[in-house]
Amino acid sequence: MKSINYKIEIYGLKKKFGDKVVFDGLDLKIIEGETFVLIGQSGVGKSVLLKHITGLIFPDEGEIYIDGEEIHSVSENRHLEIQNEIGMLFQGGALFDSFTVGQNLLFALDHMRPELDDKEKEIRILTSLEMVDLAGIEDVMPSELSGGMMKRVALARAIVSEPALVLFDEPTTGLDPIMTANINELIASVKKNLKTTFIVVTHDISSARCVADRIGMLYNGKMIFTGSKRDLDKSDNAYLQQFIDGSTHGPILTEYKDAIKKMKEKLR
Amino acid sequence: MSQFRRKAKGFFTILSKFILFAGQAFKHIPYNIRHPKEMLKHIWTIGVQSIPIVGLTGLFTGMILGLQVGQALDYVIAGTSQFVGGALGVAVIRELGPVLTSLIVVSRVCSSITAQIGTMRVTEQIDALSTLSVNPMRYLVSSRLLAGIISLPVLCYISSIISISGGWIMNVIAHGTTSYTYWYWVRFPLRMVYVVEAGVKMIVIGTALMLISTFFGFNTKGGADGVGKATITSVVTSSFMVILLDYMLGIMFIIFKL
Repeated sequence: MKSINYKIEIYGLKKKFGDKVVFDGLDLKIIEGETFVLIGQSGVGKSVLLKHITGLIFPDEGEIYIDGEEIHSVSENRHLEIQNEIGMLFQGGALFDSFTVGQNLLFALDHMRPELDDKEKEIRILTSLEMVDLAGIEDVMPSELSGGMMKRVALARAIVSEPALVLFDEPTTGLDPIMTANINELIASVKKNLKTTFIVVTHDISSARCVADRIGMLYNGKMIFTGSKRDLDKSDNAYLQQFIDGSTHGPILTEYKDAIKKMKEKLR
Repeated sequence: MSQFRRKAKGFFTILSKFILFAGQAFKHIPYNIRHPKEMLKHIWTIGVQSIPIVGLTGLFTGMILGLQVGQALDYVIAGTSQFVGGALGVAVIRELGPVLTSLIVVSRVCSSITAQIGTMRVTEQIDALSTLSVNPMRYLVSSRLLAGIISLPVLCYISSIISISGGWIMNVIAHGTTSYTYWYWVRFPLRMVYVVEAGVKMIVIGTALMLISTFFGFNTKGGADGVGKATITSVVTSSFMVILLDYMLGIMFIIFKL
């Protein structure tokens, strides 16, 4: 029987911001080479989980392993080496607005792949921009780009160093349906070319179905579902079904209303 | 009482955060000395691009002082406006030069640093730096800190020289003092220690200004409103610190008879 290689393993992750519990003993395993889509409501902690994986936020408790190494207990240098193998696409793109598109990509290469010479860097920049259908816009400033173009440049910056793990934080939020489909197709085609592990965070269920190998749902600080697209439809989990259907009737809204009620009572 | 306690707790929390922030900023200074590219860029924006406004402010301050102090002296004892250079030289080099230069740097540079870093924070550009294996403290803070420490004393000396020259122009034109007399009285009470005092003040104030403006930018929360609030807090704190540090260092130089 073929053994499964896990790219990421998370055990007993706990995190609180003030009184708000974000993760309450979260466990998750991401298989090497897969596209794992993390779904859940806004504010449930999906982006926070990505920031834990990149090391931007430290957990209160729990362990996060990347390729078998616990990332928060390694030395600073080793942590930088691990980080060099992670590319991230941020929700708003997070392109450096004082740099041109080309300089944004070059900046990533200068710091993540300093061993490359100028010629190799130039080739990588051109290839990455071609992958996102934006060849020839190296000299354009980010402020001149549309929302969709900005996300595509951010995707190019995330993959320009050819990392072993790429994280996508809400790649289609704020885009029109056509551009959403375009970005989804792009993620799938980039995946075909790079064959690396992708983690995509979204609350758009159609995007999730389009790009995912496996899907997980985060709710109340824990993973309440992980499985394939087929498992998603077969699941009888009431929370998951309410989220997929986008229904206003179900346990999520009931608990949400209860939470608001408690908050109001506390304020009184 | 509980409100006072809460405010005091908030103040000391920010202060302790600031001390840790400053420690981190100083830790990365050696890297920026070895790799000065980013620091040189900031010397250009903080220092070189501030020269015109610092120079103009110094010139007009010196000119108006040369005119009005001269008039006042003549009013008290006729013919004493020729001694303006002595008063102006000491006042400008010890106090006016450092304070005016610093306040201009606050309005021109500190506000822009806080707004720029604050915007980077709320648009996740600082997080993006970390994911690209760039230490944001080293890249955004230490490089500016070093640039400020280098630029501010130089700006202060430029401002002081132009200011004293402004006084000379008005003293010669309005009061008929000869150039030789003016510059003789400028040099007469001046001591090297005053020049050193101005330099020390500018190094300390420059350090404080860069740390304050980057600290508030770095800790910006929320969107555009957060950036606005951070910028106001940064400018108000920086302006107050300029006056406070100038006063404290001035007193220190007097107490220790430097």
